[in-house]
Amino acid sequence: MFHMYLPIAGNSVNILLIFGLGGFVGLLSGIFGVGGGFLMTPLLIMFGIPPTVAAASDSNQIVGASTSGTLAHWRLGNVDFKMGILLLIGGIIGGTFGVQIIKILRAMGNADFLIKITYVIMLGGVGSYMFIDSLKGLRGSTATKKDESQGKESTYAKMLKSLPFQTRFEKSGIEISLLLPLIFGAFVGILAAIMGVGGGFIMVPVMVYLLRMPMHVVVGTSLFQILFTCVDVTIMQAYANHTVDFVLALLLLLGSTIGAQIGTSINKRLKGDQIKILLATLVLLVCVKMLYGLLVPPEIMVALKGGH
Amino acid sequence: MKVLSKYIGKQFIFIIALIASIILINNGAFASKENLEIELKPNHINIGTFYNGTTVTAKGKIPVGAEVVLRISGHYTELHLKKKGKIAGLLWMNIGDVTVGNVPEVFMVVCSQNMKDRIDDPGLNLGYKYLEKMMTIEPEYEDKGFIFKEFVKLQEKSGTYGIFSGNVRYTGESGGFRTFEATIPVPPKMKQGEYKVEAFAVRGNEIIESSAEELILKQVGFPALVSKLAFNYSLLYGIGAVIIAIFAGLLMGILFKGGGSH
Repeated sequence: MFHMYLPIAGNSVNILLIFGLGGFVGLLSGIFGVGGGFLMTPLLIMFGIPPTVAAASDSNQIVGASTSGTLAHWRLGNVDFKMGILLLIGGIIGGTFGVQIIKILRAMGNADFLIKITYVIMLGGVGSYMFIDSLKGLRGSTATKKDESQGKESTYAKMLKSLPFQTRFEKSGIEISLLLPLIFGAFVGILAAIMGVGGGFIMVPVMVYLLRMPMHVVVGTSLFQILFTCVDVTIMQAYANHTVDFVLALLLLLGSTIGAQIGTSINKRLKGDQIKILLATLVLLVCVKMLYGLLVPPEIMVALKGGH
Repeated sequence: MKVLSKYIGKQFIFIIALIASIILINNGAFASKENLEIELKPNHINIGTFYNGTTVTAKGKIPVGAEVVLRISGHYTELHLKKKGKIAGLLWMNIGDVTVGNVPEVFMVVCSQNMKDRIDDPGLNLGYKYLEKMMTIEPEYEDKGFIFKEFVKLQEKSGTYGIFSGNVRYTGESGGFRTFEATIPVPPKMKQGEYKVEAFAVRGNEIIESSAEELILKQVGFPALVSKLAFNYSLLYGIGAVIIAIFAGLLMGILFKGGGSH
C-alpha cells in the first residue's frame, strides 16, 4: 500500500516515507542553506536505491527545494545575487580543478583514506569552532569576543583591504575584493569535487567567517548558488549516465519544497547565533556518524560503486 | 571392390547406429520434458505506477519419490564493487575495486525444507556453489571465495538473491506422478526483462529430469514512459526534470506566500 515504482532506480518505495524524507531535508535546507545531499543520499541508499541514482535524483530534487528556499529568502531580502554569482563562478572553476586532483590522488593510491580523514577533521574542526563561537554569542559574551579578536580581525581586515578590485556588496553590507568570493568559491568547489558532496555546509561557514556576511544573507545566497550547481549536475547526470529518476525526484520534491518554505519561516524567527549553533550541531553529528562508520566493522565487506 | 563394399557397409552400419542413438536420446529428452511439466501463473508481469513486487505460482508434476527444485535467474552482467578493509589497523574504508563478471542480477532457488541443505550437493549443483564456479573476478589475485560470499550477502540484502526453502507444497499423487505448487517471490527490485525459471526433479543425489519456462517482466504506463524518455531523449529529459523541479519550487513559494507565512 502507498508504494510507487521508480523506473530508473528499478525499485519501489513507500510514498509517505519518501515524502517525509524530502520534507525533513527541505526543512534543513530552508533553515541552514544546505542542500542536504550528505544526509539524503545515504538514506536513499538505505531504502534500496542504487547509489548513482540516489545521488543524481537528489540533485534533481535540490533544484526544486533550493528554488523554493531562494524565492522565500529573496522575498525577505536575504539573497546577495552579486556575491552568489561570483561564488558560483569560483565554484565551477574549483570543481573542474578538483576533479583533476582526485584523479591524481586516486592514481597515487590511498585516496579514499586521505579524503575521509580530511573530511572528518574538517567537519570536526568547523563544527566545533562554529559551536563554541555561537555558544559564546548566545551567552552574551560578544563584547569579550570582540575585544579578544580585535587584533586578529584587524590583521585579517587589513589583508582584505589590501586586495585589488574592492567592491561594495549591498545586500551583505560589506566591501571586499571581487577576487575573494572567486577564490573561496574555487576552494569550496575543489573540496566539494574531492569529497563528492554539494559543498553547502562547507560554503556556509566560509561565508560567515571568511567573507564576514550576515547569517541570514548567507543562507539565502548559499541556496541561490546551490540551485545552479544542482541544475548543472542534474542535466549532466541525466544526459551522460541516465541516472536521474524523475519519479523519485518528484516524490522528494513534494516534501522538500514544502519543507524549505517552513524552514525559511523558522530561519526568520531564529537569531544568527541560534542558526549557527544548530548547524554546528548538525555538522558535528555528521562528523560523529562518519567516525562511527570508520571505526565499526561493516556488516558486508563489499558495496556497489557509485554515490557519495 | 570387395574391400570398398566392406568399407561402405561398415560406414552404413555406423551411420544407422548414430541415427538410432540420436533418436533414442531425443526420445529420452522428450520423455523427460513430458514427465516434468511446469506452468507459471502469471508468466507475464506488468510493472505499473504502483507496482511493489508480486509472487508467481509454479504448478507441475514430477515422478513419485522425487523432489522439485526451482531456480530463477536472469540478466547476467558485470558488477563493479568497492572492497572494504582496515587501514592503519583502525579505520574501516574502501581499500580497492573488484569487478565480478558472469553473475546474474537475480538468482533465487525455491525448494522444500527437505532439499534446503542438499541443493549444493556435487551431483546437483543448483545453489550458490554453481554460481561461484561461473563467476569471474578481476583482479584475479583477489580471494574469490570471500568476495563471492560478501557479494551474495549484498544481493540477499537487496532482495534479488535468496534460497527460499519451504515454498514448495506437494498437493497429491496419481498415476506415478506427484503434483506440486511453488510460490516464487518477485521482489520489486527485479527489473523488466526476461528471466529463466528452471525446474529440476531430484531423486537421491541426481537430477532425473529438468524443464524451463520464461518469466517476463515489462514496464507499462507511466514507468515505461519515464524510462523511454530517460534513455532515448536523455538531454531533453534532464532539462525537463530541471524545469519541472524549478516550477514545483516556484509554485510552492507562491502557495506559501498566499498562506501568509511571511
